[in-house]
Amino acid sequence: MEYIIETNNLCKNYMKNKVLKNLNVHVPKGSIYGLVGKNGAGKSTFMRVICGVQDATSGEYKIYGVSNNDSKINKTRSRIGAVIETVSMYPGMSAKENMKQQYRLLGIPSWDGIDELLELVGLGDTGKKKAKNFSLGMRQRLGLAMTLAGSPDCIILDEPMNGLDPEGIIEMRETIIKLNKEKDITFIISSHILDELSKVATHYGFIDDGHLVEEISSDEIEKKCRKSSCLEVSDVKSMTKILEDKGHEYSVDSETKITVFDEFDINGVLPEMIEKKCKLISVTSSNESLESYYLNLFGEIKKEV
Amino acid sequence: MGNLIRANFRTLRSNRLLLICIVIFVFIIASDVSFFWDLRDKYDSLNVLTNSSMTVVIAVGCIVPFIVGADFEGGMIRNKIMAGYSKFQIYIASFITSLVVTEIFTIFTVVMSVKEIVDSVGVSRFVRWFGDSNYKAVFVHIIIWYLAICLAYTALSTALIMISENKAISIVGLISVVLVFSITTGSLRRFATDTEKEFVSINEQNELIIEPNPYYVAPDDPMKKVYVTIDSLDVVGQVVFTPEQEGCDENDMNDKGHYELSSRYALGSVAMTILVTALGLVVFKRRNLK
Repeated sequence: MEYIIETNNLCKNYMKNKVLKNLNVHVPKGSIYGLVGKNGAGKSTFMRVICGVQDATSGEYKIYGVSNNDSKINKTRSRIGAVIETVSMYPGMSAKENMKQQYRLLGIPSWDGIDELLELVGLGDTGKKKAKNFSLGMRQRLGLAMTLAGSPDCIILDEPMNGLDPEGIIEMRETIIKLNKEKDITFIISSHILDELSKVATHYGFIDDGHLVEEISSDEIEKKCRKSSCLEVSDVKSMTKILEDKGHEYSVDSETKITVFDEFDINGVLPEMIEKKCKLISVTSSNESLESYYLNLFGEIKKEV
Repeated sequence: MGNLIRANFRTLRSNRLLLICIVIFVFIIASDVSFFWDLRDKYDSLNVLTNSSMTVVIAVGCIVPFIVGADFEGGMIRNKIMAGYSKFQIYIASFITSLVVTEIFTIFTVVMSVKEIVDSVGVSRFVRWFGDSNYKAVFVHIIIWYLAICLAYTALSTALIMISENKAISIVGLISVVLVFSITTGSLRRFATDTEKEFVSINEQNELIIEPNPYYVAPDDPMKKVYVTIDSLDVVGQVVFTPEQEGCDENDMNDKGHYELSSRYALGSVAMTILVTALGLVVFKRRNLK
């Protein structure tokens, strides 16, 4: 798999405070990578380090295979756009002037595409209104438009849904998906609104206390999250035979436990179980969402600690 | 880096604070030049470049970096880094932008002064006067020194805003630096500049009184070099020195050693610029930006 961004034991300390602890993140090309973690987990710090706003204390990160220790890293970084915490803009300028300023910085000789980008994010009719008078949602959209200047291959968004009204959230989500699908732009998004994140993300990185807990694709998480029943039985071998005969999808978790996916009615297999002398010890069903998956994952970590 | 500087200039162009400041400063300089030119016969000297004009020019040198440095507030510095510029380039571009504006303003001040003279005496008389005048060298000398001192203030202000990322902290920092230099000027300057070993005066009884100069330090004294170095780097003290040059013609400048002193000050300003910029760059490169 080709990774746009990968880190290798990345560490970041603020004085004695260790914020990133040997973080190993892999962002696949063309993905929408959702960074999930509680406040202070290190998500924004990771983004700042990748964007070059702050230097790593130790470890390494690569952007398009170029190491942070390589002199070409600054040039490579120009292929990325980012909005971290607050939108970077000149408050005294209009949306269009801000876009022109961004074009100037990127050395783009003409203003072609500015109007289209502003239209794309829904700021086409703001005229001479200064950015300082924009609502939070409008600022977020301007931030996205500015990151799109120069046609970046990857966009980093820190809490992009913050301050957006429900309609704005839907628009932002659709824009992200559209850009990902049509322009093959990779996104790294951190968000606390897990339900929203689950609607766009193709991959997830769960961060806790500065290190990566789990990196998982949305397909894998879907498998884990979909409706399932966990059976605890005395004879797993016989049980798998019964499930195969009935055409159920399942996975063997341990010597006594089997997870059966999708709709499953235990009454439908009870006669066969009795026949094969397979005792049912317990049965639990679950229907996980990203939110419950996150809570389960971090609950387990807490228990381990 | 050209794109970065162009973007910085665009930021300045749209800044109302700078526009207001420049209008006020132009007014001050215009009235200042006019006032002193009216007094030219009384002082019989080149008073057109005055202490207050210099203060205004220095003020521009201090203000412009703060406006360019406002990038921190809007977070645009992140966009600059994301656009592929190194922190070194961002710092130097900010400094260059501020410096260009300040030095243009300095030259503008000089041009205003010259224009005022020309308006008063006429072009031909001015050309004749200036060509014949032994003030010419003094004039050129002062301009070079003006440019040098503005360079130092711009460097100082740029370093403060780039290091602190905060206007309020930078202003407090700038005031602190000026205060420290003022104290230095008040306490150490005479040790570096006083060349008379003794003061000679005549009292009411017409008796010759010779008193030792308490500030005199012999040229071969090792401390003299220390005082001279500190004095050269003291950009606040240099501004105070300006009026001493007013009223001087070329002979006075030679007699009083002002040429040597102002040359040393100009070099001191350049040294201060290099020192402050190097220090600012080191801190800025290590700084964790938000």
